[in-house]
Amino acid sequence: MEIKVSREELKQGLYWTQNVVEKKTTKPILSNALLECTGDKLKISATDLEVGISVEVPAQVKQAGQVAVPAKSLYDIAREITAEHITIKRRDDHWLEINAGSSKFKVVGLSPQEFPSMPEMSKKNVVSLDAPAIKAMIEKTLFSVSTDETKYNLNGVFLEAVGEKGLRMVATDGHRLSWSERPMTQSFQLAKGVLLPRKGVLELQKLIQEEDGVLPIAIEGRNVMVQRGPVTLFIRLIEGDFPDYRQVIPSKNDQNAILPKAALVGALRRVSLLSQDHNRGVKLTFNSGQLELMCSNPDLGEAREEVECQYKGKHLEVGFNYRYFLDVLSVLEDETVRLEIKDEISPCLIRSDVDKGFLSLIMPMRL
Amino acid sequence: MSIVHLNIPAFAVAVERRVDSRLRDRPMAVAAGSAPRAPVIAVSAEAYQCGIRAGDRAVDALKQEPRLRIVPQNPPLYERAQAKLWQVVERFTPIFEPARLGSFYLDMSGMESLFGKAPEAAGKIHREVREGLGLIATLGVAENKLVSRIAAQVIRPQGLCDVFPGSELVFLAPLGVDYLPGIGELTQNRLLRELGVRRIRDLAEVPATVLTKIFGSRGALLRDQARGIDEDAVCPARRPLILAEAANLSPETNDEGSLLAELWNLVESLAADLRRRGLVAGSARLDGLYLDHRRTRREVALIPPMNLDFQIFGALETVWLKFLGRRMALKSFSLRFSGLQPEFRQSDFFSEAREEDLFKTLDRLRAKYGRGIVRSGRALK
Repeated sequence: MEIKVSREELKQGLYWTQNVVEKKTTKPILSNALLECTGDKLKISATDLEVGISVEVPAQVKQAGQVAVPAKSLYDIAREITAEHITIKRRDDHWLEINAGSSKFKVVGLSPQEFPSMPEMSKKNVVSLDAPAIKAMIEKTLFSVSTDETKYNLNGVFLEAVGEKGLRMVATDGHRLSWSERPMTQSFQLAKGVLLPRKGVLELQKLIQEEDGVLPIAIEGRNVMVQRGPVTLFIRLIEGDFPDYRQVIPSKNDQNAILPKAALVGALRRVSLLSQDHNRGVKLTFNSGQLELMCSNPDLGEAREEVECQYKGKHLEVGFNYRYFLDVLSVLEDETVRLEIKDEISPCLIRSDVDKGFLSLIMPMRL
Repeated sequence: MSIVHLNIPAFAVAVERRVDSRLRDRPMAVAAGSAPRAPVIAVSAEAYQCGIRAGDRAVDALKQEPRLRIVPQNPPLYERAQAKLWQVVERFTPIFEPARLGSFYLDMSGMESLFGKAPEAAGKIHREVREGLGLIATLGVAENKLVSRIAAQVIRPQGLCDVFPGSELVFLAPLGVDYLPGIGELTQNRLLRELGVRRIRDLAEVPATVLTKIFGSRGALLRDQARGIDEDAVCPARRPLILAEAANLSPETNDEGSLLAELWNLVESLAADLRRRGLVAGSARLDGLYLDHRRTRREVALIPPMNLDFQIFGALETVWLKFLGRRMALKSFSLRFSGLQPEFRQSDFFSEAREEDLFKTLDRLRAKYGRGIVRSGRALK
């Protein structure tokens, strides 16, 4: 195998692999990127068996072939060298010789046969989704995904079709839930919903941030494939049942408090300075025309702040994790926020007037 | 301000001697363990005169002074002694700060009407510690923490040293620079080599700019200390809340079934206490005493902090076999919860708090009809 490739193109290609490869793994091959040279292209692939990515880079292929090389080392080399073009040559025993101007590197590689095969997907089921809408939906749900590995069925974003051309994303960690729903230009057939792992959704988000327009996506068996330009992303779906989230959406939260979002965010940030690290609790006291926020910490003291709000319901004192509120408020485009509550043990419902397809639920905590 | 510094010189030695009178009036030291290479952590005045210092290896100390008696440290004993000392100190002022084991700073400002002026109060503390606990203290009285500490150090091995307000400079002047906190052998050598300074008097006269040039930002602090200036306030201490209960085994036993039943009883009782107080525990510790008076101890972190019987018992089971490491009957063992913090419970959409409800109901039943109304099968021997 021997190729000549532009440094910038190689760097860009390897950039996509950096978050996918496993840094600490018992399988050394998973920290490698597979380089495959055919025709006038260099194909760079990486996977952690859950998420896989392939990037095609233009290259002058002098001799076709393939090799697996440490993705991080190769990326660091591509970043640091100053020459415009790089020549990569495979030597015996999977050693790789890299020449760039006056710089020469010899990098130890692995056999390409050890590299896991990427899923083969036909392109007949590809539908084009509205990229900005998908991006917005990810932003509004991803923060609620559970990072607790024992709750594997909550470790991703649940995606399902709604009506003829609608799409819904739901994420929850058991303490909070985010729901985002948008109409799409093309219908998306999903017999039942699928669960996309958090890491895959993060890569998808990165892919969409590059440009707007349409996002070709295909779901086949237990895999999702997304293609954008030279980059193809494969995501293995989580095999687990997402809980029945509809049953936790309250229908009788009749106590509404409407208040300016900026005032609520500011007050939360200030009082949370004295919250306890282990529970991040803030007590919200709803009084007529006023919301009081209070944090207390036996080691530090107590902080209180009052915010004027439109509230005519009964006096209520409810504890919440302030971080959950800040996460939701950070993705709301609204200037005012409406908190729908019922009592001290029921979840608080937050809806958006700007984005009617969004809602968020936060469970209270006993402080 | 009137600050009193209370210090029990070589605290571990003093406590060991209080417990075992055979250790008195002879060179003795406390080592970090019973191994020959274990470092010495406290030395008696007699051993100090023989040239033995904290940090020496036990085997080397014995070579230096064959009459030396070395005992391995007994942290639970020192903690108990510290707790007793705490009780004495808190009777004199609400504002006190424990510095280390056997050492406290007391802010006696405003306590004149109760105990007299600070030196008089210090005298009373000295008497109380000697008569109540059988420990000999040194006390320093001054306007700030720094000078009171040095005063208590100067008056060793016992007594009271009162430094009048305004005379700090005069008091400190003849002392060696090693009396100042943070000045070890390295700094002493540097002061001597670069400035020819041995005494605090000489250090106080060195211009701040020179000290800053040599010691950086620490230079200004050194100059202030040499002049007896210290603006550190006494930070009131809160005694960490601990819940503990012990089981005395009669007859002594190493039968695992019986011991587990006793453990369950302790867990049940202490966990109910935690819930009644609205607390969760972050750590649980088992202390045991074998028939041959050797001790065993195992501690387990409770993550996340908890107060439910099954959860705590499950965590303790992970260290239980290590705790019973010997085939020797236990005389007694105790369970201690620390890292206590207010309970909070984050509600969850998808899981019910069944265990919590169960224990709440049990707590209510026991509060109304007595502890025996519902007994767990695990508690049956």
